[in-house]
Amino acid sequence: MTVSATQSPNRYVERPAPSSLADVVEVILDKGLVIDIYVRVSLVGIELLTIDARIVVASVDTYLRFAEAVNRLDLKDDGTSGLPELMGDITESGAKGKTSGALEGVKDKASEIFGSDDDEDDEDEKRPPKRRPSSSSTRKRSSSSSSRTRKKAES
Amino acid sequence: MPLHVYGVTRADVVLPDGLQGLYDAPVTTVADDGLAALVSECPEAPTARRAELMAHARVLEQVVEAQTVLPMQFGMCMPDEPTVRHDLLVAHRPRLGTLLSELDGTVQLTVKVVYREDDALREVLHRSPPLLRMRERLASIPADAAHFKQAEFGQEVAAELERMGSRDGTEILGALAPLCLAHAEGKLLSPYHILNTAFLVRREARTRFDEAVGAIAEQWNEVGTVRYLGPQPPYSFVDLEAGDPAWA
Repeated sequence: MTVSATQSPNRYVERPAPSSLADVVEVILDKGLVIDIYVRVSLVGIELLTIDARIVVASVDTYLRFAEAVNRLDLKDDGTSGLPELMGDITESGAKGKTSGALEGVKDKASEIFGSDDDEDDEDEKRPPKRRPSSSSTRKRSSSSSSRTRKKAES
Repeated sequence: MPLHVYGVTRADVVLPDGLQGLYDAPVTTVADDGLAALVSECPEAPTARRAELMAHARVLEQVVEAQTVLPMQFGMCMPDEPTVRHDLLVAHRPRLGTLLSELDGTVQLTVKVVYREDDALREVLHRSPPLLRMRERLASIPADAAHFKQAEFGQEVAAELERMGSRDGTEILGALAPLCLAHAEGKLLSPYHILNTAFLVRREARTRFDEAVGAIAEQWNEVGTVRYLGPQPPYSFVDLEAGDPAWA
């Protein structure tokens, strides 16, 4: 995975990065040209994977999870208490891998199904996406105080 | 030996040196009258493990760096070279030719924006004082008595999150759409996924698009993460005309 963001003197430029396994699964099994009779590969397991990712919506359990997630938020970490603590909090929870639950599920499933013969990027796949370019997230953090001010002003 | 087909380009395509496909087999071309299929040798029915899926995508990504390529769906295996020439290139020449001209000089860039759970929920509470009050009220009710109230509360939170996500998603799309030729929205896998859109972008407009995505990453940095993928072959823009029975 390459670093996907750089900062020029006065402008934040994002550069596209190669796709991960989950991104690849999403496009190459579902999109692209097909001549039906020549598709030879067995796609057993792929359906499962898509369904798995979609069960997130609309059940009481889901709503209870939302309630639980909101209830455990420590709002004292937010707002006026200052940015550094908030950012520390985000980094910490990222490290525990609490974020992006659903996507995580898909990826785990994907590696189960397809095997993990490519072990060196396994770690990379399982990490929450936001932490992937470690150098750029540092930059993002440093640039966030201005964006925070701006967003608050807008809302 | 059967051939796995990656995609179709013009016959004057220049493949990157040492381009390897599935099972590390060298990628070559089968050409016919101006069109070329990118192929490599493979077993009767190739496996769809991580390595093979990634190899298919990487071959296409490397070729599209410099040239227009129409991507095939993964798993298209034809018995031999004459079949590739005849059943693919000759049989579908008009459509392939049209698509290649239409997509000439373009790449696909995909933008995915995902909220970070805690940050997004915090923002939801910030924007909705009634939800904040509801949360406080629920905190004072014993847990076992609050089951249905909690579900109700969660439902409200989910609804508010969805409203926020669709508003943010629309705003981001509005900023990027003017910079592309076409865009195709993909599935949103969870309420935290607010944008998953493929953009068809002219090569010469890529820098401007990079800048626009950079601006979005910065603006939404506080609640979410922007993932920016590409350049990809135009996976989402090779849909075939309805009514052509040869294509699925």
